[in-house]
Amino acid sequence: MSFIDTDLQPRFPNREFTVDAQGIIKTETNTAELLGLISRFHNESGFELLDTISCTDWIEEGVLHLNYILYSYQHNQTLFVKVKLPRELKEDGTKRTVAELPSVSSIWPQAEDFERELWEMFGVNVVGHNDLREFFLEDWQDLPPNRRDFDTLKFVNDHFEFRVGREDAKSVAEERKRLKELRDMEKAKLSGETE
Amino acid sequence: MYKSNQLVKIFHGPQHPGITGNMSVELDLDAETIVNATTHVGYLHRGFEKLVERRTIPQAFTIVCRICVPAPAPNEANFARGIENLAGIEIPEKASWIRTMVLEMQRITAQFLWMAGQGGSLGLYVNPQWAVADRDFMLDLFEELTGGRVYHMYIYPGGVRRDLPDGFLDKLSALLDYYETRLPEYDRVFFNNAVFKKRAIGAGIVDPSTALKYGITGPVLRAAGYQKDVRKYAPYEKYSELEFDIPTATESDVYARAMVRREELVQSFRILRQIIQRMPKTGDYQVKLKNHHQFKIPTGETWVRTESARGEFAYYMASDGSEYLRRMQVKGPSMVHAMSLLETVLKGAQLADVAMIMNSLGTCPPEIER
Repeated sequence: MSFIDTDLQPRFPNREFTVDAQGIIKTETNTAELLGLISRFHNESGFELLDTISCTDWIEEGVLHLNYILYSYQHNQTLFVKVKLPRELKEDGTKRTVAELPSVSSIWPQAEDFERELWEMFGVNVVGHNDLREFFLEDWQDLPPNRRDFDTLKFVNDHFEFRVGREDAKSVAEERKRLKELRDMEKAKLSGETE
Repeated sequence: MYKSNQLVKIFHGPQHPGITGNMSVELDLDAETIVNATTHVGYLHRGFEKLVERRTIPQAFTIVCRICVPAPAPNEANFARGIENLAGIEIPEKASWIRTMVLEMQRITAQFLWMAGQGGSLGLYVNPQWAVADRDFMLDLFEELTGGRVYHMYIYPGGVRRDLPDGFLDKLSALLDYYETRLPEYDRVFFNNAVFKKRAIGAGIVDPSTALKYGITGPVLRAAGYQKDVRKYAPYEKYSELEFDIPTATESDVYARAMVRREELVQSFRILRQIIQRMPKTGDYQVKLKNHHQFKIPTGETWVRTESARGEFAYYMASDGSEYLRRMQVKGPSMVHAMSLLETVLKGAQLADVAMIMNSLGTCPPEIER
């Protein structure tokens, strides 16, 4: 009998759990049920630790995949609570998502920092958080930088200049190609001479 | 005019003796006592997670080690294991033994670096000089094995990059002999030092009742009385076949954490001695991967964890079927230790103890800001 059969399924009869090849248990929920569900996992099923909140931008599907990665020392089990959050941003210029994500910092204080990062780097609109202020970035007015539609190259070209003396910096691939052609020419010349 | 009930606000950092890297703590002081502490990061953000999304796997592999200065090997190991999980690669037996050896050697260098910092933060300057010099002997071995002293770029998806050089294990064995003779010396100048004991005992206490829940890991958790170690509860590579103990303490103060780390050093020697005995003489050390533009990883996600000297290092990785990773998210121990934990522990502490406490918690800003 697996942990799901003995523990999770009896407590959460209508919920679907899957296990991947690594033994990680996964279940999906929505933002409305998230806080209630996650606190039940914490209080009833022994998932005492929130390891981190991972976020992946699936721009093709228009969603941010969030994983609340919970761990139970007692049962030695890892649980991913998945939430798909629409990635669409508000039109008021705040660059935060229309969809709201409830904060879990009332259960785990360290979640405050994880959520601050989500808020800053992905523009997730976290609600119920006491201390949403800038984390790594300073006076950032652009699109949240970890979103897939943030163009790193454009940002660099707009904000930075090439170091003096590096204006002719060539593409490495082109330079290698040119050198190879030179070498080949020399080889051909040499073999021509020996013949 | 001086008002006796006024709090003084100072910035501790971003450069200070407590840690590797730059991070500042904003302190509200009532005379010498800290009333409130707020951590500020942002001095080191290099955007590694974003950089990895634009690089093929071999290209990305060369930058993950730079996420953490004192412990690059756990990063390489996590990255490699994550890719192997996603792509379904089995690594050869010998590669796995070499990885375990490198990870354990890395833990030793990180403990020496901690010892140097801990001594430095207290003004015990013999300790930093000795510890940095002794760490360098291990770096020499790393150089011989991998070509790099600090950033090795050695643990590669599919195995390790090169085989062991001739006579390497003998050199490692000789170095362990030397380290064992050095430990009593460190006891004399540092661990049994009256100054260190007086400063460290009872300082920087982490509340054991909330330690598990708040995501505290590594020696900080073990000094709070919990025998938890990723190498035991979620063993990777060859750790399940090796014998070692998980040292613990109950006092949960700076001194208890120091003694736990000292004992971990002894356990690392013990693990390395077993590895030297059991290292396969022959066998492949890597599986050949495809050309990096053809090395496409099937869609999926994975979560891998490694026990570094400072605590649990974990990676979340998601792939989308292309030759690039869709997302790689790093969670090092400092994300908790230097933020919510440090802010709590510093309340009520003395200004002079800030560097000592930061070092003792194993904070490392490069890995928060990756």
